[in-house]
Amino acid sequence: MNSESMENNELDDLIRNALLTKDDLKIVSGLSDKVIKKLEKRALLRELVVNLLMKAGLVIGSLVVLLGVFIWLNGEEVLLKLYDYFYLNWNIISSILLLLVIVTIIDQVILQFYKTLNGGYKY
Amino acid sequence: MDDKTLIKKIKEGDRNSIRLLVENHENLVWHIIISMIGRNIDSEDIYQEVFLQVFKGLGNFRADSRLSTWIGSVAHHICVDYLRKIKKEREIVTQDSEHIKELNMSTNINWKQIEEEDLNRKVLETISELPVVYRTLITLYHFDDCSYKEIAEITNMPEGTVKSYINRGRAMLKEILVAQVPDINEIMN
Repeated sequence: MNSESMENNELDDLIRNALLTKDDLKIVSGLSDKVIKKLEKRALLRELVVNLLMKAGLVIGSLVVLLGVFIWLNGEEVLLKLYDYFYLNWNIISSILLLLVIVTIIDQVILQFYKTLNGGYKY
Repeated sequence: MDDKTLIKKIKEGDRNSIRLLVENHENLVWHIIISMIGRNIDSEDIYQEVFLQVFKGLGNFRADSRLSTWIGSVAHHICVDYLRKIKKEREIVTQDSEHIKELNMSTNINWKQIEEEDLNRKVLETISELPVVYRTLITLYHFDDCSYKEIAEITNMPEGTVKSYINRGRAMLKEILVAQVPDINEIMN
């Protein structure tokens, strides 16, 4: 029997029909749902971090503007006094700032993340 | 929904769009993984890794190709890396003639009473014995109905090479089946 006897379209049907019966080609049940949940969590986390950074940028930007106005009104000596104050009390100030950052991250990212996951999306 | 809109909605965090992205491409990705590395303990991890990489790289996706072919190419790339990691690079391309000799060409079974499912099983066994590039391309072409152009984009091969490999793979399959199943035309008819 010559291989050319088997027509190409018959071979196509044979291959396709055989592949249709291959169990391994059927995707594992629940696998896509697992992946979707993972991607949703990533998307949510990304969203929360971006929101936090925007808020932080807004706050810092506002403080810089305020400081600029303050210095403009009161002269550069105020800037030196402020610098001396921060330099002398750097450990207390940095501790308070660090605490503020940690609390903000916990509130704005971590708690929001679990609240949204458990309670559904807010948007 | 077109690819551009889908990606835009995903970037906005739309939950339904993420689900759509995965569900629309789950079969293509799974078929690539199974045809390249088979079903093993790593298949599911690789499947997840593909979509994580897709999600990460959506920002870099250029709309000059279809989203499905880009996702397929990510899956293909990850599978190639996996095969290289487990040092099966030799399986990616082997010599045709040597490979045909290795396969069991001498068995001549009386298939007259063969059931269709036995024939299907025989075809699947033969496909699984083909070199990984041939069986991947055959699966994409025959099962996922991908065009030569789409397969070329997924596998990063020239379209001519894809066509040649598919024809070669089919020729190998045909030769083996006809050698092992002399009455195959009767069985199929």
